[in-house]
Amino acid sequence: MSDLLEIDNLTVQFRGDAGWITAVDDVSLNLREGETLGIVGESGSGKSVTALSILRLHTAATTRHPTGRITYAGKDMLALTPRQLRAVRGREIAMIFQDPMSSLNPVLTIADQISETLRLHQGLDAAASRQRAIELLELVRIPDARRRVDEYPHRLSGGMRQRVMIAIAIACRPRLLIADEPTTALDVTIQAQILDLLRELQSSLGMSVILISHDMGVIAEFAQRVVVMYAGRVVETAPVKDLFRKPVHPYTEGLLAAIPKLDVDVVRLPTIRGSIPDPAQHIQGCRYGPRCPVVLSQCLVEAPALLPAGPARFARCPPRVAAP
Amino acid sequence: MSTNAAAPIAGVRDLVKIFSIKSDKGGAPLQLHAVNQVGFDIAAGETLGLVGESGSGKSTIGRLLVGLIPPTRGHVELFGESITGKDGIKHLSNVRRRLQFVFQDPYGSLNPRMRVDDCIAEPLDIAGGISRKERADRIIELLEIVGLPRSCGDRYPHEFSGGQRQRIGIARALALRPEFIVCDEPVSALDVSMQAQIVNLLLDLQEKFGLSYLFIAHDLAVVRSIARRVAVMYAGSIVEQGLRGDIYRAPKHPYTQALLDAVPRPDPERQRKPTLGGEIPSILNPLPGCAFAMRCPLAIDRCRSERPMPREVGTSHLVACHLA
Amino acid sequence: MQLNPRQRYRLLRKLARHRSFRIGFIIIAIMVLAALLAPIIAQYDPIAMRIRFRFRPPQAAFPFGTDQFGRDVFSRVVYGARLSLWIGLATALISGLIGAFLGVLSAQYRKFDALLMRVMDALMAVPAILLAIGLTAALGPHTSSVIIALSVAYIPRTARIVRGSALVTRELEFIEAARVAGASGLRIMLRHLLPNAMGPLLVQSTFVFAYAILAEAALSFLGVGPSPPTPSWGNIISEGRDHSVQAWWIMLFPGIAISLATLGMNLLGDGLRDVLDPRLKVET
Repeated sequence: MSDLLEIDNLTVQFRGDAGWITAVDDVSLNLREGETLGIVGESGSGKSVTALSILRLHTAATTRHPTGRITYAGKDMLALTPRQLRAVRGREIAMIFQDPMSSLNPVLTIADQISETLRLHQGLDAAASRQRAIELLELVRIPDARRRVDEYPHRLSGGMRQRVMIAIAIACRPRLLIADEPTTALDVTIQAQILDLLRELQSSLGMSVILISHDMGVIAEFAQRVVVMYAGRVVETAPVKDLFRKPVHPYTEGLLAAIPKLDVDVVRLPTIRGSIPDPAQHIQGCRYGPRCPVVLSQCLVEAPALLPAGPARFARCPPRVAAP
Repeated sequence: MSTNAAAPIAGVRDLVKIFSIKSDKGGAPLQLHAVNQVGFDIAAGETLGLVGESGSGKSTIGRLLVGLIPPTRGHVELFGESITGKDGIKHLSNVRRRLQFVFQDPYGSLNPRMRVDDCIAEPLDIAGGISRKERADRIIELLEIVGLPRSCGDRYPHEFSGGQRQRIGIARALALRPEFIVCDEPVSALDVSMQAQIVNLLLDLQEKFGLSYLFIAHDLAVVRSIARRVAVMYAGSIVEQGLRGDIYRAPKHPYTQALLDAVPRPDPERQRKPTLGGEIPSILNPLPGCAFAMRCPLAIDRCRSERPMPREVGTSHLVACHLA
Repeated sequence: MQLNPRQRYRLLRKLARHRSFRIGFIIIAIMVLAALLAPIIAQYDPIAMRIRFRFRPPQAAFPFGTDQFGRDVFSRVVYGARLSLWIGLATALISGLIGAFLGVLSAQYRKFDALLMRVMDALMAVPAILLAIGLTAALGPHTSSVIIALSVAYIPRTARIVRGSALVTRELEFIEAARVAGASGLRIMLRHLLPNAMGPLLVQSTFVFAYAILAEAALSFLGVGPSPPTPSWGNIISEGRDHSVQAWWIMLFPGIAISLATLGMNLLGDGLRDVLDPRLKVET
């Protein structure tokens, strides 16, 4: 399987109050064709910014042009002209976001919103695109699609709106779907439905998926390979089973331990001391160092490199990689 | 309801809350049946966890319990006396000092224009009768209790992270030495690594000061780590309540079971359970019968016509289901 | 707005970098300085008439020329700045205070809100300038009547803005927190709603200042402004009306002064708004 997407040494900076803030620092990852990649991290990890960079969706005014390379199906994404970029967005690469409330235009009907992308990329006329819209709504399991297609977003529940977003995203059968926290704003039982739907669509349409989430449970149930990010850097990459069975990086370990357990009674939850560093703050050495329970003096001096840590695994923790 | 022989610190009986809102189509106002015949007790020193998805009514109950909103029908008792009956308002202002509220949104729960020390001391200022020195001492004491350095006092909320702001909110809640605190989704807006810290803080405070909590959350795992008894809500009613072990290990209500199944676990090898279909019901026009009947895999005709009332199925274990 | 020294410093730095604010601030600062230093800057008595020098065009001795009574227009404009800027300031302050008070009261008490908003609507239905004309005509052509009239005219807009901000603030959780702790309505209004409305209020006040200066000019033009011979920009223009062809400088320079003051205040207001608003929104 070849790589569908390759991100090499991506660095993205935003303009802050006092200079540039590095949101994504030298991040490299790859996605194979047909694979489901999960990117997990807490706030400030840079996971969303990385995803937005693929389609260059961040605010141009306050962002420095990203350095590094993003290669999708042989195309250098960061070098595409606006017109070329528009041809890719929606057609080859689609994205769905966290908040279905604000992702849909409140003054357009569902039919109009789905048709927009169909007309743009497939040149369908009004009647054909409406028909296709109904088919898509049925594909995403919205009951009574024929009637629903003419409704406005505010009439739909959160779960329904998310399904509509998914319908818009898959309308042109993209090769890659990027889902940024697609279920975070949804109730638990609805979340399960949406994840099921995404799994189903992925296998029936043969899409590759990048799923971004802060929820380790969602990642565990959905992803085949996982990238763990912290404070703008990739700290660990591994196949999903390996990651959860035996995490290498202390942050991954700490995170897994700190998750409240649903199936076990715990007296006290283990915690990670300290808090996530401010992105504007410069930290010498390992970014996780100040919070790491097994930190060594060398960690606070030298910035660690991402090293191989087993079959298809990488970790940014030299002490752990050297002596697992 | 509870096995504790002493008088409960808080209790509700036959509680009903209907919100009247203007219809977007004009005409008669719509009735939102937010809380529909709810009853429970909380013993001194105990934590009752209230879980549910959106529309379950759990946040409304929290506010009803502290008198922020008046009930449409039913009784609310605090510290042994009613706040909804005759002289209810008088009793509420008498016991105000003994109860408090911790909010969900660490960003909206603090006045951005007030310094942290003023935010924390506000309950003291409102209650009055405290000297400047006592006030200053108490602020330092409270900051210490929640694990924040004293220098925080001079600064403004926006200078702090979500987790720190939540600590400030908790410090404010502790200002008047309350006995009972309603926590409404206190950790939902925080990163995982911070959630554990705040949960542990709440547990420590409970031990130290003998506090009782009503802990409202949608995250079942978080509730498991803090609550001794749990009540599960659906569309305005409590469908099941009991001791933690019973609810999590041997739930009797189909919704509780479905809810537990739907939560994604950080375990890629876990066997996936069937997903619950259907939507969260609207609380606008509650249908006769059980609110869950539409989605329940076990529903029979009786479920759709007759509303099940809570029945005792074990020690302190109540279930509102015809089939339990 | 209480800020500790470090925050004040950061805010000021941000303002200083904002181009519009800088320009506006410089313009206004120069004008205020000129107004305060009028006795030093103005070479001639603005009121004394020296017929010998009437209708002199702008020249070295009289940078802005002289009017029909031989009075140095430059001196008059500089002294006029005192009156005009004062009217702007007083109007902004009074309408700001009363408008703010009414705004938070409306947001807090719905019944009062219904009543007050209807009254405000009625007032706003009349163009501010007409309202001001009517009031000054009734109260007499004094500076104080102008200030009162303009303040009344601008109170509804300010009240509306403060009310809007307070309504949003009211929904935030810290208001509930205060209520749980037993805060009275008064405390919520003064301690919570009002401070959070400071941003929009400040910005609105700068615009009221600008409008007031313009309005004063219009009122003076119509003869109901501050009465001559004390110069205000408006009445200088008004008095120069009859000589607009032969002595165009009498109207031009106070006119430029008014334009600059209005522009300066608007730029200042824009800058303040840009810097304050994102500060009011919480950063995530």
